[in-house]
Amino acid sequence: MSKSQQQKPHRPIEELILEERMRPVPRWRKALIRPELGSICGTILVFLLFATIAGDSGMFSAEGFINWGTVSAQFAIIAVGACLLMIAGEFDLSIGSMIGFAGIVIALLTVQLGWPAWLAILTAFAVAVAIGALNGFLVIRTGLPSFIVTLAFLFILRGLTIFIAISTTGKTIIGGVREASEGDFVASLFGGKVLTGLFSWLAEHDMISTFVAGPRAGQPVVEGIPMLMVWAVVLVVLGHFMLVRTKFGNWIFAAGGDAQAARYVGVPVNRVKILMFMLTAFCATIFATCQVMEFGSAAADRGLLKEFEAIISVVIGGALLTGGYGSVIGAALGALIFGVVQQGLFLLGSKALCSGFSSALFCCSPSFSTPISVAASRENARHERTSDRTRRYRKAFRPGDCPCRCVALGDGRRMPLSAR
Amino acid sequence: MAGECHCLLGDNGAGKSTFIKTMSGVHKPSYGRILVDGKEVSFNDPRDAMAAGIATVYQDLAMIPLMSVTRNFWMGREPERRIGPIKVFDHRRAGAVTVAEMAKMGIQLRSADQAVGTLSGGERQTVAISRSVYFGARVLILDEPTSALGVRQTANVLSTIDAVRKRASAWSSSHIMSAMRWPSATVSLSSITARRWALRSVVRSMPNSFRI
Repeated sequence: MSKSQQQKPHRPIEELILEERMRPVPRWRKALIRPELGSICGTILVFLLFATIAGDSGMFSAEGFINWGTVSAQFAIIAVGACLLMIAGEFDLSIGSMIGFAGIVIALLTVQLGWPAWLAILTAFAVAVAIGALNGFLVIRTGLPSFIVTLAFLFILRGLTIFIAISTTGKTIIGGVREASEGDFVASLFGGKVLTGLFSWLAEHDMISTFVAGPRAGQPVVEGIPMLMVWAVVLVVLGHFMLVRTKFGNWIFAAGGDAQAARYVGVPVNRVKILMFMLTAFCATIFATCQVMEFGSAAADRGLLKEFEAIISVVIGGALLTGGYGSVIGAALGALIFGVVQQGLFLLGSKALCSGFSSALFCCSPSFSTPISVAASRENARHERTSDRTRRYRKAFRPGDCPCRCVALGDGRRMPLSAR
Repeated sequence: MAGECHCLLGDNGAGKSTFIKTMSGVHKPSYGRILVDGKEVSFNDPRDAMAAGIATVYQDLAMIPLMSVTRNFWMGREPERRIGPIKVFDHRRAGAVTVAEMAKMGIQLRSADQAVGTLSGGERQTVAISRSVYFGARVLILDEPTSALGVRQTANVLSTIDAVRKRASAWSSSHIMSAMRWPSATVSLSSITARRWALRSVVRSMPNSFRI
C-alpha cells in the first residue's frame, strides 16, 4: 500500500465547517440555556439544606407541607401573571394594591350590601380585570414605561381601598365574609379544601397526625389540600401550556423580545400586552379571593409588597427583566424556593439566622438582585428627570416607610392600621 | 419579474431609505404612482405591502435573538394543529419547514429550536429573507443588507440574494460601492439584468412611477 493512500484525503473547508456546525450539542449543554435551570438547582439545594438542618422541626410532615405549600402557592399564583407580563416586556407594580382592593370589594359587597358571594366575587374579578386593562391601555397609549404607570396605580388603588373601607364602615378591616358566603358554590371554589376524604383516611390509618384533645380530637390536623394550592397548580399548568404550546405564547415572547420587529410581521403587540395586564390583575384577584375566603375578612393593607414578591419569584425563575425570555415553570419553582426559605427560616427561629445559613443566603441574593438593581438604577435615572412636585407627591404616598405600621394619607396625615 | 436583481446606490441622504420605505408602505408617496401587476396600489401600512407580495428585510429589526429560529420564522403566522377543542402551535411541522427552507438557502441548522442569537449576522438576515420568500414575497427589499457585516458574512448574504433571485425579484440598497459591486459581478456572470443608480443626482431624478 503506498503512502499517499494511507493519508486521509483533504476535505474542503466548507465540509469541515458544516460538520462542526451540525455536531449535536450534548444534552447537558442544551439544558444549560433553559431558563428553568437555575430555579431547578435552587429548589433541590433549598430542599437538601432544610432537610439537613431542619429535618426534625416538622417541616416535612403533612402540617409542615401545608404550611410552606400555602405560602408558595400564594407566591405562585401572582408569579404566573407577573411572569407572563414580564415576558411580554412589561411590569405590574400594582399587584399588591390590587389584592387589597379586590378583597375589600368582595367584603363590602357581601357584608355591607348583602350581595350573594358569587355575584360579589364575579364583580370583583370584572372590576380588577377592567383596571388591569386600563393599566395596559395607559402604558400603550402614553408610551410611558409600565414601571411608572403601574406605580401610580399602586398608590391610587391603595388609597382608593382605604378610602372606600373607611368611608363605608369606618374601619380598615371588614369581617364576617365567611358567614355571609356560607354554602356558596363559587366561594367554596376559593376557600374550600379538596381531598378531605383522603386525609381522613390517612388519619384513620395513623399515617398523618390527628388532634389528640379538644373538640376536634381524632380528626386530622390537616383536613385537606386548600383550594389556593389547586388554583396555583392549575394556573401554572395553563400558563405554561399557553406560553410554550400556543400561537399566543409565541406572540408573548415576540412582544417582549422586540416589539417593533413583532409589529413588522403582524403580531398584535398592543393587544398581547393589554391582555397580559388583565391576566396579572386576574391572578391578583384569585389570590385576594382565596385569602378573603380563608380568613373570612378583608383588610385594606392586604397584599402589601406582594408585587415585589411576585417579581422576585419570577426573576429567581430565570426570566429576564427586560422581557422576551422566561418560563412559567421557572417562576413557579421560584415561588416554591421563596416560600420554603421564608417558612423554613420561621420554623428554625432566629438562631439559624445567625449561623452560617444566613451567609449562604446572602451569597445567593446578589445573583437574584443584580437584574433588579439594574432596573432600579434605570428607574432612578428616570426619577431624576421628574419634577420636584411629582417627587414630593410620591414621597408623601410611599407606604411602609413608617415603623409603626401606618399608612400615609395624601394630605400628610398618617393613619395607623391594625395588624394584618 | 422573478430573477431580476436591482441595486439602489446613493450617498448618505440621497433618499435610498425613504425610497425603500415608500415601496414597503411605511411612507406614502407625495406624488407619483406605485404599480403592481400594472395596477395602481396605495399602501396604508407595511402589512398592505406584504399582502401585495412586497416584503422588506431591515438590517436590525428582523429577528428576536432570544427566540428560536422556528419561532422567529413563523412569528405572526404560527401554524396550528387541533388537539380536541384546543389549537396548539404545531412545533413539529414548523420546525421541519424551517429547516427545509433554510437548507434551500444553503444554511444547515443543527436543530430548529436553536436560538437566533447563536447565528451570525448574515445567517439571521438569511432567516428573515427565507421567511419573506416562504410567505409569498414576490418582491424582496433589503435595506442596507451588508452594512453591519464582515467580509465573509457579506458574501453569505450576497449568495442568499443570488438564491432568492430564482424565486423573487430582489431590491437591495447600500451606500458602500464595494459591497454592491460584488453581486453585480455575480449578477453579470449569471447574465441577470442589473439596474444601478450610482449617482446621487440620478437617484434624485428617479422616475416617480416605477413598474414592479
